[in-house]
Amino acid sequence: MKRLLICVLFCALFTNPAQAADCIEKACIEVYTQNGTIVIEGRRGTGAVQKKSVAPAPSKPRLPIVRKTVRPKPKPVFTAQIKPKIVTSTKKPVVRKRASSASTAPATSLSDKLVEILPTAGIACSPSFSPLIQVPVYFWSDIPLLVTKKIEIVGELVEVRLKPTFLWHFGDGVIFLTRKAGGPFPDGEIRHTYSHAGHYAIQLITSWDGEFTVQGVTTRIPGKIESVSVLPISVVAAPSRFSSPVRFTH
Amino acid sequence: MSTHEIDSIAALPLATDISWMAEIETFWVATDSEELNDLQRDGATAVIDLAAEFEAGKGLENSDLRARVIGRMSDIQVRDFALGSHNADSAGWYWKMWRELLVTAPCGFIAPIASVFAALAYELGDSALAQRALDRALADDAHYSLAILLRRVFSAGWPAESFSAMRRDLHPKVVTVIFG
Repeated sequence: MKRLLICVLFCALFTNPAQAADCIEKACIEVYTQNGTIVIEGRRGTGAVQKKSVAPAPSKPRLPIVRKTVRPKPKPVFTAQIKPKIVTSTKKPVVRKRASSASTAPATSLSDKLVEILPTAGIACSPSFSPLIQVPVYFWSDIPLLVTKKIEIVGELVEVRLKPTFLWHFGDGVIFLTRKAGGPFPDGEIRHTYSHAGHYAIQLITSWDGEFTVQGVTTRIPGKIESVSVLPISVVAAPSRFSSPVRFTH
Repeated sequence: MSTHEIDSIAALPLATDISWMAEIETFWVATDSEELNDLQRDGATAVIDLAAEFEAGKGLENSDLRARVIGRMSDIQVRDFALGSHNADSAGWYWKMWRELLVTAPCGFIAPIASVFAALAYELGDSALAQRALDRALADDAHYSLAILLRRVFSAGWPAESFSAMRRDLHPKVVTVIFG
């Protein structure tokens, strides 16, 4: 038991500072996907990965941080109560609040914010009411083709860029992959002609991939975020019928 | 092919540049890769991304993306996806893209790109250029099955429209395999 305790103490003393050594001078930023959201984690100083960033108010943002002022939390809780701060491109000195015993420090897990910036695709088609067979139907979604955000976390400016890929299932077995959002007639690229009348469920799978930049270094965000949108449509036939000739009289 | 004034498909010096070759090599798709499907998706997405860059007139700016497409084309599913990714509207800039990739692709990466370029040239009515592209494909890999198949198709004088229709029918199946 005593040996075990010594081993644990040895590991705690020597491994933790070594692992966190790179995060003292500059913050360690991780961006990844989790449960359909993008999570940005920032870590500065020693200790476990922090979802909350609390530091003594330094006069300059790059000063070394005193270790004891960081309050580690065993299980980070994602909270939407406090809105993360969105900064502009001009970098201003970060004003930090001194950690108090009441611990009212703001959460720096930015997953909530990034969930907000990934919109769910709405689908539209033209003609919207009973499109005909053998006539192209135009489809489009209202998703922006590039989502960029600048977020400040533990004193570092993180720029996240996300691009959607659209995978259209037209309901009759035809699939179309594109980076474009499409549009109504006549400019839309996403169009499909149905051969048979019937009810079809249009399915659009929007998958996001992207990269983030911290201190000039750009890294691809691992994983993907996918969302599915569905639009039911009824395609009808317009049969031609012979009729008696129409005579126009003056 | 009056619309395409430049039809040289000979390799440029860049194709033998060591750093360029090394960059492309990093995008090689191994058939036994554990993340094969992810790599295939990445390749298919890269193809349409690069086509969009060419559409915007910025095709030569992003060398990383060009290297990614050339490297990922080593996978058969990505190649088949590329074969069917253009339509009548986009054929012009796809032609420019495949030609640009063909003249800059290093040895070992030429055959799939030359085959796709040959198919597109044939569809656009330039069967002589298509045959020359197949020459390059088979010089790179004498046993490349798609190039051999296309040689037979072109030599048999298959109508270009039938070839386009076959390609259009095949494309959704390929997309389903990669993204389904």
